[in-house]
Amino acid sequence: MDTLVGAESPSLSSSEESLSLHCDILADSLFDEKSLLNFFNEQEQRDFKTSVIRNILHDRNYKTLCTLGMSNFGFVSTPLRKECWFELLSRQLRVSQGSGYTTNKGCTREHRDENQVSLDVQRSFTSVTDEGRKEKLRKLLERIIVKILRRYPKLSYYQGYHDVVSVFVIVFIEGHDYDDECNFLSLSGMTSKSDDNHSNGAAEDKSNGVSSSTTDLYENETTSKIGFDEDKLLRCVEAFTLLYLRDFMMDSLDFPIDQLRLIPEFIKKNSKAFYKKLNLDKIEPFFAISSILTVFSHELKPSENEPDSLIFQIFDFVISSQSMVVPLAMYATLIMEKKDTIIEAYNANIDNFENSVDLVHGVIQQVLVPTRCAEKIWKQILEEVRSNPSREHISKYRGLVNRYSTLLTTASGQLHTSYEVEDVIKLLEKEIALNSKRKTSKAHAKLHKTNTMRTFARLFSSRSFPLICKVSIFVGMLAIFMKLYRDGSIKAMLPTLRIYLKKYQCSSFAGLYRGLNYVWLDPLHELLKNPSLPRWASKVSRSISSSKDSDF
Amino acid sequence: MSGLRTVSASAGSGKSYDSIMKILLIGDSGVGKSCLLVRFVDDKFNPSFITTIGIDFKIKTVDINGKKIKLQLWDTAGQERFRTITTAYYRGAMGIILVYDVTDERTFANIRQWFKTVNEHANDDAQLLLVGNKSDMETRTVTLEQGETLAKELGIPFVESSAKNDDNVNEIFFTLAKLIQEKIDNDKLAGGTSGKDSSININSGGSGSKSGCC
Ligand SMILES: Nc1nc2c(ncn2[C@@H]2O[C@H](COP(=O)(O)OP(=O)(O)OP(=O)(O)O)[C@@H](O)[C@H]2O)c(=O)[nH]1
Ligand SMILES: [Mg+2]
Repeated sequence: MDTLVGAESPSLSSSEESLSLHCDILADSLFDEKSLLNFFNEQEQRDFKTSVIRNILHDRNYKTLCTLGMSNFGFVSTPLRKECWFELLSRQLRVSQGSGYTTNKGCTREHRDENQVSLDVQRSFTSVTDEGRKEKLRKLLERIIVKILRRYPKLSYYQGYHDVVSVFVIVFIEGHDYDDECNFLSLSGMTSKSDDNHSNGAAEDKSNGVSSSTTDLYENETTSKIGFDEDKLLRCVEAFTLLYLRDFMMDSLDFPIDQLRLIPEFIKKNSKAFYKKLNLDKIEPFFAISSILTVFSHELKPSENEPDSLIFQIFDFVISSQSMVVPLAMYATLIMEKKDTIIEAYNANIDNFENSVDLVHGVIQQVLVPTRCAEKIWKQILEEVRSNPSREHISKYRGLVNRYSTLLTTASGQLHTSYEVEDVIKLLEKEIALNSKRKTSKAHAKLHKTNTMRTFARLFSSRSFPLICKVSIFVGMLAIFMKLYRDGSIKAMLPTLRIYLKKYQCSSFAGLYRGLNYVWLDPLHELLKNPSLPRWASKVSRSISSSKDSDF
Repeated sequence: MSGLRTVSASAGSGKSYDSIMKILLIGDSGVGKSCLLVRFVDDKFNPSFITTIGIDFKIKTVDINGKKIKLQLWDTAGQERFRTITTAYYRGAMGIILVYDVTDERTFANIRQWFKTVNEHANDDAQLLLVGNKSDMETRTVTLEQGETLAKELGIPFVESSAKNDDNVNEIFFTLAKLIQEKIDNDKLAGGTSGKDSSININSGGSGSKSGCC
């Protein structure tokens, strides 16, 4: 309450001043969200949002926090972002004490993918120029990934997971130990300790019962000293992994490939001609794999020097909306945004590629790569996704993904849902079973298909098979078909077929953002209702509610 | 009809090259595929160049026997699970570079598996090349002879390279391009009866049937 409109920083109070200065005009004419936003300069908006978020965090108002994360600027700054992510993610995945997942007991056994992890960690944080700093970040990254994998050995690691985790690492390490050599040292002390744990897995195992508590103590002590809370970081990565990335961590990429197929559906919904032009009815959308597996963090590498980088706001949005459809929709939006350039490049390059798989991949890469650095286009995409609360729901595409998929369960865009870790593990196990079943049936189908086809082909092409027999089979099949047609059975099937077709066609642009049009107003409203606010604010509050009434 | 796709309409219409070759880099994660590519295309070595996720492609135009050849270079992710995705790009590759790391025996042993994958997914007439990378390292565990023996067994040419020291990197790509060009020229001399739609050849007018390079 008393921390409202934070009095702690001078910049805030000055913005407060300007707020009150303009509040008459505000009350008179600016009633809708857009003009209200445009009225203040960006810094004022940020400051204001910062104080709103502080307040919301203080009240632990989870729902409003989600709304704020989905609106302009996301969670505004790294220190706030850290708190918000923790608040949201620890709420979305509940890990009760003593559930066996809170401690690192039994997590000393090496995970099968650790070699790949270390290969990728060595190629992470490439934009960090300070070698020492880079080394520290990499050690922390590796430690977090290994802890998660050892805690949930059923998860498989994929190249790109390290990119996602590095976003969390950058956010949580913020403000720590860059210039403070002392902090740096204590962090590195912790690092080497934990490294010892890795290498001496067996030894640690034996003394586990005794040593784990002392280890915990040691770590807590260290972390509190340097103010960097590794446990919080770990909790966030754990929740994000289990709730959002689960589909990607089977022992094949079949499920993420399923997810990718939503992208062409979204494009088709928007422009069928463009969909056809890019041959999306014939080719797999593999060109999007790195963006989706890494939630764009492979393209938009996070950096400590750019706390305002849009990659953080993308994560804000995904976490707040609890939706992994968001990245897919964003990708489709990106393609649609670049439609003309893509068509141009497509036409210019038709002769340069061997087949349409290559052509489309080449064209999209060529068009999107310059976009990697262009914040402007990403900003635009994010704005579009924010302001496009679609009514349709993911259930339209239910058939495209497996039934336990993150897209239908833990990251479906269903707001304010929360899961026990045990339940998510069950989902994970079901998905793993489904995945391996599919793998074997796929292998079977492949075998079977080639066999039947081969037999058939051999039958028909072989000279020993007399022409008369071929003709008679053909005539027989024709007769059956004719009979079916005359009976009307085929005609009777037509309407059902049409329904299926239609169902397939009315795909829509990610029906998940049931977000309010007044994304900004709601929290604002709540804040302004507060009686401890100055008079100008309650005036604004009143005018906002009246505007809301008239607008709806 | 010749299997070569000849684009006569575009002859001389501002095309800055005579033909295109699709080349693929495959091999285990971390053997240095991307580093080789970056060295070849940008002449740089970054010891922590980013991981490849899925597929990336680069283009470099080279001059071979007076012909401008546009090399279309497809770099693939090494982790096993990406194979479903990367093999979708094997089709129509005229050259495939199989890379292993001379300091890592496992990557060498896996070459046989990669070779099998190539046979399953690539065109039969794709030109292969075996590369043992990181030859600059002291800690090698795969000898030059072992590499040669394997190459002989698989019936493909072999070279050791270092992306770091820029040893044999250009050779990899030039050798492969020349071998592919030879194949194309031989096919043409033979009356273009190959019937395989595996190669794109865009001639700017002239007969261009120069044969026998190096
Ligand atoms: N000493 C030495 N190291 C090399 C050489 N080439 C690559 N490396 C190292 O090997 C690491 C991996 O190289 P990459 O080119 O990223 O490996 P890749 O084959 O592309 O791996 P994926 O993208 O995971 O499939 C690099 O980070 C370099 O440090 C080399 O010629 N000599
Ligand atoms: Mg690579």
